[in-house]
Amino acid sequence: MKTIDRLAIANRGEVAVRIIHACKELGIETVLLHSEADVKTLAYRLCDKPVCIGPAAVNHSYLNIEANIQGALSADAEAIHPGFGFLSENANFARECEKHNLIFVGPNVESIELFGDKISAKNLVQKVGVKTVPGYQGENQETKKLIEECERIGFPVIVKAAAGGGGRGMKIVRKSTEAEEAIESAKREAVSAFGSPIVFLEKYLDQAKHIEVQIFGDHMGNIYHLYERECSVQRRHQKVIEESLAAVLSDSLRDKILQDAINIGRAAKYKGAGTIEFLVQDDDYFFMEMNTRLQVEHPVTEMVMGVDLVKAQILTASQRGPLWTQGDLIPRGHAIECRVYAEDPYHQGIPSTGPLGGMFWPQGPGRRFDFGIESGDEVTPFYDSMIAKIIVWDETRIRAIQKMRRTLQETVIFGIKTNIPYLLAILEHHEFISGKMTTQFISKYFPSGLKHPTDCGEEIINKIKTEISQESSTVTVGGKSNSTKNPWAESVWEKI
Amino acid sequence: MDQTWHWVWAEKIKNQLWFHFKGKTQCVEFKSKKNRRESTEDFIETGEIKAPMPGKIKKIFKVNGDSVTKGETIVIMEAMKMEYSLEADVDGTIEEIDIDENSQVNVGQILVKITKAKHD
Repeated sequence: MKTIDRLAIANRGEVAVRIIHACKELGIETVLLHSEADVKTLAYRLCDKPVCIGPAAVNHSYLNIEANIQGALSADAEAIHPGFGFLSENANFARECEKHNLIFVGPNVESIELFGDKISAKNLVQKVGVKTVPGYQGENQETKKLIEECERIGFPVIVKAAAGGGGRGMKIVRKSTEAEEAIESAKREAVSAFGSPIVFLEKYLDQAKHIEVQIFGDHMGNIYHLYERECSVQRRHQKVIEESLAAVLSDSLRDKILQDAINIGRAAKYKGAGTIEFLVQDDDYFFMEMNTRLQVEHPVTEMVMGVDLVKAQILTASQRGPLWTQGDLIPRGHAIECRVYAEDPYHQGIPSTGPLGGMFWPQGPGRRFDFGIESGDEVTPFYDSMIAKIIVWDETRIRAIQKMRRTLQETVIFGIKTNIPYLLAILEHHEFISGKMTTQFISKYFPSGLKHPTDCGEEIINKIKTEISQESSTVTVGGKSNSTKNPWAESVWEKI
Repeated sequence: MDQTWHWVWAEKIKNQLWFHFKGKTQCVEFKSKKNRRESTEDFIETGEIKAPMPGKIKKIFKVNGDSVTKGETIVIMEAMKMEYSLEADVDGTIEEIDIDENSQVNVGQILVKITKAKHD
């Protein structure tokens, strides 16, 4: 057993807050390794000790291995939790941690390398007997060669960054005339996001569901699965809505996928939290990739399984366990997560930045809000535009959808635009409700985002307008609503 | 039940009024002190491509004098690690491109001006 008394967090935003909560509950002090731009954030206020590691630009702060290591050492931390994104799947970072006697909260360096290289990952998985998506993963990276390979595989083809993840550096090519531009664009994004232009090609399955299995390896070598999540609702390969369990999946197929996931975890002697992503089309399924970290959507698994994955990670890193027995891990009910992005849903999801005004998270039974900024803080253009996650749990999927709709409708975020109207439109779509959606859902039904909003009350705007005092930041509204019989309440919001 | 309550959350931020009513958040912008309400959205085809957010120009596909069609991608910019295609909103000819690849741009900055073609 290793003791962790102080843990450094090499991340920001809501996941930094999530890790701080787990640490506080385990009696561990937290050091927040933050950039200059992240002083006005919740994690900064909640941590025990903030250490500034550099300027806003990620290459000089959150992606700077040396700065993170030195920051952790300067604060006498014994361990580093990398969260997700940034350095979480960077083998060099894990190796540097080891070198400096810092416990890296995550899998072994070997596992990160194995699965971080999407090509060696596919080779391992094929050895275990799991099918992978047909494609090209060769060393010849000339655009001309890649175009030829696209033709061989047959369109549509997806171009992916070998070092990638999180939907970046991915492009779909539907016909040969699009190939050159798509490949070059994917390479550019791959360089700017991951520092490597290496890409690989895969046949693009356009009737598939994205289903992923949460696995966990404890320090004694036991591999558990914590059932699956479905993340078919994706926009530009970024997940938007996730749920657990999968919306529609036969028991026989589920059993096979879960067993395969366990087999992959065992073959890799995996330690810690990991997610194995599959594409499921009809009764067939293919390994896509394995993410060797905590996932953004881990809360839906926590809700249905009744576990705390972040605490489990930290306990495993301090060599405590076994954590569970597989037989005790029984899912209950249904959980849904919506990612709240700071973006304009009516204009192709263009990021919306600026100071946050009032915020109200409507608490209630089975509702969870993971966020990293509060009223008065600022959404900056430097980082990912996900500002919060809303997670609900209920006994059935339909009830969970209803609860999520209520929760989103009651959520108030002022000052920046969010994708909440977009999320609501998805939750009201018949294909989502039926559970039959595929990864094509958004491009099929919402190809250009949302149309212009329906005005929610010209009369109300006029009433507020007449009440508003230009000098004061307090707004008082009173009077009658547009539905004639409803006298509506007086509401006061004082800005801090 | 002929009377029900509806709460309105409202807040004024600079010249914007944000309010939340019956499950929807909306924002209106006041352009002048006369409280003249103006939509924050701009549907007019201007022929100007403005940066919708601060970011970096990744690629420019046209030069001055090139003809373009509505919907054609003219510039790719990157913000928050994602690429965005900026398209021509009119048919016409490129009048001015005021940026270089890899340059940083601010929100609202005019990147490209297009002279609208005359359709007879």
